[in-house]
Amino acid sequence: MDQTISTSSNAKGINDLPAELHFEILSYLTDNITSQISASKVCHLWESIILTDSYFQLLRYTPLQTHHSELIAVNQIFNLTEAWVSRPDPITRQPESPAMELRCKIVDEEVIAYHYVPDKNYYAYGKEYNFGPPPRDGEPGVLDISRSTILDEQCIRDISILPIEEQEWNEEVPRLTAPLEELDILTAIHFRGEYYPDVIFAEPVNFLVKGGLTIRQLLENIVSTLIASMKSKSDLDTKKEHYVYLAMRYIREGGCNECWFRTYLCHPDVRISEDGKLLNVVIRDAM
Amino acid sequence: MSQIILLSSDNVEMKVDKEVAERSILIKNMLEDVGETPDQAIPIPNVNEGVLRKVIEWCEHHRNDPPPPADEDSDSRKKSTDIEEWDQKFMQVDQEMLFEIILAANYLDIKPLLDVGCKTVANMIKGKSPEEIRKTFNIQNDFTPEEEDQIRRENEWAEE
Repeated sequence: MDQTISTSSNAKGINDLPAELHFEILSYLTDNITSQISASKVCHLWESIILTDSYFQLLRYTPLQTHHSELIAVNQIFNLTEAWVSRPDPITRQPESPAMELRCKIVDEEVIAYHYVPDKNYYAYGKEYNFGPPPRDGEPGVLDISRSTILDEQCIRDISILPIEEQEWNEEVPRLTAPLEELDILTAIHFRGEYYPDVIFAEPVNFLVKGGLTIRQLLENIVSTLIASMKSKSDLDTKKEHYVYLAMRYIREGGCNECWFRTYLCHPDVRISEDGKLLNVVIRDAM
Repeated sequence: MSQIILLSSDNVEMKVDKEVAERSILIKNMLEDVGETPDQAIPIPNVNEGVLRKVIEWCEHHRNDPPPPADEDSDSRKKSTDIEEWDQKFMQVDQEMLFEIILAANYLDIKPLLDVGCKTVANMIKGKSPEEIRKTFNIQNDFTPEEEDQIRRENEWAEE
């Protein structure tokens, strides 16, 4: 009924714009993964633009800076940046909770839902800075991304396989001649009970991220590893509902650097042989 | 300075400096095709008086802007949504006018004005949940119940 009212008047709205202008508008969200995820859940048109358009897909990858220049790009969903710029709370001395979280809801050892919890300041965008608590489960702030194809995107892409137009932009960047095969990522995991923020288990775990591995596959791997580890260490009742909070950081030999933490998930040490072949990619814990 | 006359869709004539009107690539090309400054009004069939006045106001203010660098997109992959102060104030209009301006800028081929309009809308999207975005722009939720099933089951659980 609402629609007949709006079409009977000549008032122009966003629905009157042609698809290419929707594209144009949404292209201004490419610097912010939370906005992209939120907007992709608005309607089919926006979902298809944000999730299936190759331009948008490409811009979801942030090149990692290595001393060999930019070779590898990581999906923005791992830009849980502020999470590990851990300014301790002045009163509790505890590090602030991660700003954005990927969260897996688990029942009976199975992941039944994937949640994306935006930065607690996200919903204060354009408003006064808000130090309120992060949204709790069931609050509108939590975005269910279980069906989102963003989870089926690769964790990491070798940017030498980027489409032509992007290669032109990256002209000065040396190319990997060997395919990117594996990359270690240290993943810190907070396993919490039903009620935030009771951390019942927390342990950093190393994961090998092979080229082509999707975000969903990585998360499933992390969860199953974690559950196995938990079962041996604590009296976990796996029949109950639990959440795994994933906060990721990147690490680098020789100490951590706040600037890098703000921008990147991990800082790989990429070794390349004299004839340009990729030898190995190593990430070491900086802690 | 030579002036030309624009005719809005609701048949209102407006005298504009040629230089100002030529911020519109559509009009610029039209005038180049004609060769000399026409005496007759140029019809702008898709844009009504109120919107056309607003667009001309923008073109007046930006009449001396330097042309944008040709390779604007290549040096920054991710576009900024920063808007200069005058443009921000200019865009403080109701939503109907905002989208009319965007459509007019698109039709008249005024890329910098289109960019400002799109940035303004993008800034209205940022910081909102999907439902808030739908409400803000009166967008119909066209996901099927099956597609939303997961979300609802989640919420039911949370409400218990």
